[in-house]
Amino acid sequence: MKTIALAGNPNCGKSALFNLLTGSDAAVGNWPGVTVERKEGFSGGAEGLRWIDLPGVYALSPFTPEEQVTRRFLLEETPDAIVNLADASTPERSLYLTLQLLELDIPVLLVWNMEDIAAKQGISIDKPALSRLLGIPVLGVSALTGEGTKELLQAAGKAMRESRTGRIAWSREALPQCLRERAAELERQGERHSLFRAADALENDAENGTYASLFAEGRYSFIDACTRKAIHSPAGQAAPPALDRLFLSPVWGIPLFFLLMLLVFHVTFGASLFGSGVPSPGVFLHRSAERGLEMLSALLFSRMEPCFFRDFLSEGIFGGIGTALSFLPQILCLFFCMELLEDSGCMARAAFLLDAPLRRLGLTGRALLPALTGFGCSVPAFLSVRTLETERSRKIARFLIPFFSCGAKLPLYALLSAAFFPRRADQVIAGLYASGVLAAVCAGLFLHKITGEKDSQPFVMEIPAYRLPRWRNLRRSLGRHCGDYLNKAATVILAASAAVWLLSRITPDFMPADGHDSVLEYGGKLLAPFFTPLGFGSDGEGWKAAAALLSGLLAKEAAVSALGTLGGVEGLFTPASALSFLVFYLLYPPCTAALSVYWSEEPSRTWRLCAPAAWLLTAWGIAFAVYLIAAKF
Amino acid sequence: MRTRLSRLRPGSRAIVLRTEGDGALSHRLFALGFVPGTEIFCERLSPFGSPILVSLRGFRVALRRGEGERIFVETGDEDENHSTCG
Repeated sequence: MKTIALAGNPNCGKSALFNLLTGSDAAVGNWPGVTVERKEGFSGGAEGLRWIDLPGVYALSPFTPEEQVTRRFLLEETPDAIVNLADASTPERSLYLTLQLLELDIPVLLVWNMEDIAAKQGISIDKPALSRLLGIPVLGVSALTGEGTKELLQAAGKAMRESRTGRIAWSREALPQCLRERAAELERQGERHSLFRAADALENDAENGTYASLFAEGRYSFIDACTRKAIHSPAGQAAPPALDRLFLSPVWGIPLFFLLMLLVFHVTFGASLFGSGVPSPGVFLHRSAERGLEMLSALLFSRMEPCFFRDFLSEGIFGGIGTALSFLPQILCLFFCMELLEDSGCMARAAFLLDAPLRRLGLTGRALLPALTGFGCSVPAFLSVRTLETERSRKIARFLIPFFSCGAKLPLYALLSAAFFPRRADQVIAGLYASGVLAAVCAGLFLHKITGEKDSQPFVMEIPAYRLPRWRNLRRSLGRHCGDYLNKAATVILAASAAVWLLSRITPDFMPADGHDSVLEYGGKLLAPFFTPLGFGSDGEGWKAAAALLSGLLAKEAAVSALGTLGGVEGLFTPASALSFLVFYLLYPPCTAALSVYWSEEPSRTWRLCAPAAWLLTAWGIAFAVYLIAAKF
Repeated sequence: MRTRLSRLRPGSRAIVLRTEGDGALSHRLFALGFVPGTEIFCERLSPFGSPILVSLRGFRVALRRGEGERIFVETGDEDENHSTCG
């Protein structure tokens, strides 16, 4: 099977085209760097094609991890062709990467995306002329509507059958002698991409920086020549979007961002929308799901004879999964709002505004995406840390991510806050999210201090144009989250809640436990002293809280399932201990899936070992403080 | 007048003269088009004075003051001292 790589600048629509061609559902966003790993997909037709969606890059230099992924794939696994997707509204910058791709011994197709947007800005590209100048096929496509994909597939099929040797399009005569010699020598050794490798060695020569600037100037002067001949664009800079006067305003920008975040939480968790008494969409969805599941449960189990097996099915399996599932619509509501903010380009503005405060934590504005992704799930958040500039900032960011409360923790917040703080549920939840952020800020300040190095981190980030959020992207993203959640419910959560139920029904010597002396109770009581200072875990039923936290390590939702299986939360907590329990749950180490990603992403052994201990200690310390304060009221 | 990108006033235009520095960062700046002869427009500063929002070659990029220090530019307006001299 033939392989085609999709390469291009960040945020030029590669993933959208990839999804269109292969029917996949890779994440798409309006933020440079949404794709950090290569993705694979297949397109049908007479001869099937394997497509690789590569992380977006501006150049093939080997400096950031996502650039390395792209570079390594192209050099080492050499696809049969490269489809170089380019944003037609930024033709000059896009061509820079094209010129580097042309140095490789791989057929390249230059494909312009978003020509309609470019046309509105007065930019038009003469594709036949550009094709003559570059010596490769040049096409147009719309990753949004699918226009032009048929022609793209045809052209790609044709290009794949031909072989191509790399060339330096931007300079025919001015090539340094040493470059020619080196390339010829590499070719004699049978090395592929000899020209690229020779040029790359000169360009990235740490001793002698002059070639880097020489090559860059050479490429851009060739691009300027191409632009004059084949690209029509209006003179001068386009006026900045009017919306930026508001979103980037020195006075209103930051308050507006926080107001938007508050609105998101209110819409998702507010029991009374803007004080009107009508529940917010998130709460309404949750209640409907809960009611539906109750009806389903009644339908399924009311006719069965009461027996051990029925109890196992209704309490252990259905009760556990049901509690987790009833929160799915509400979680999707949160994701929907976040996706809206990201797709529209608002989040990238927030990165610009919040870069300076983030600098105090040893981070940059780019860290905002991993942090906000962390509100969804820590696993992709750990991966998106790769887009940060330096290893030190990646280390700090990875450590802070679990403090950004993931979506899986939400069911327990909603359950406990509705039970113990019925009038203030949304405030309690917003407060929890805020405390997580606050903990991250404090930990960041601390880590920045102890890891030394006062020199500033580099921060260079493209600010994308505003884009109307596309329903198709939103739907796809919600579908993906929904699938992940259902998947987890059917595996980890199912297993955990069945295990919790069984362990709560048998004694250590395998006799049926009649609500007392179960294995789980023993285990929970063993842990109880650890939690006693936090106000829960000690008295009568307290072991259930410890057991819930333990199963929360498998999957965060499993904690709420466990509480469901063990007979609910009534009487388990006082308001003060419920608060400290929630804070502990917010901050304690992430689930096993997230931990294993942390361990695979973190290169330092010391950090791998110390981070989970540090998370646990932080959780305990802050929960203890919260309990001391809350118990006074 | 010759100055650095980081010292440009919001709303002013300039031409890049050279970009100084090492390794990863200068490669990124080169790839984005900060090469001699490129016209840039300093659009605004963040509320904290850094990063700077610059537009060039039809797109916009945010960079910190420290990165702006490495980019030498030529602005159209005369140096105040020079203009008084002659």
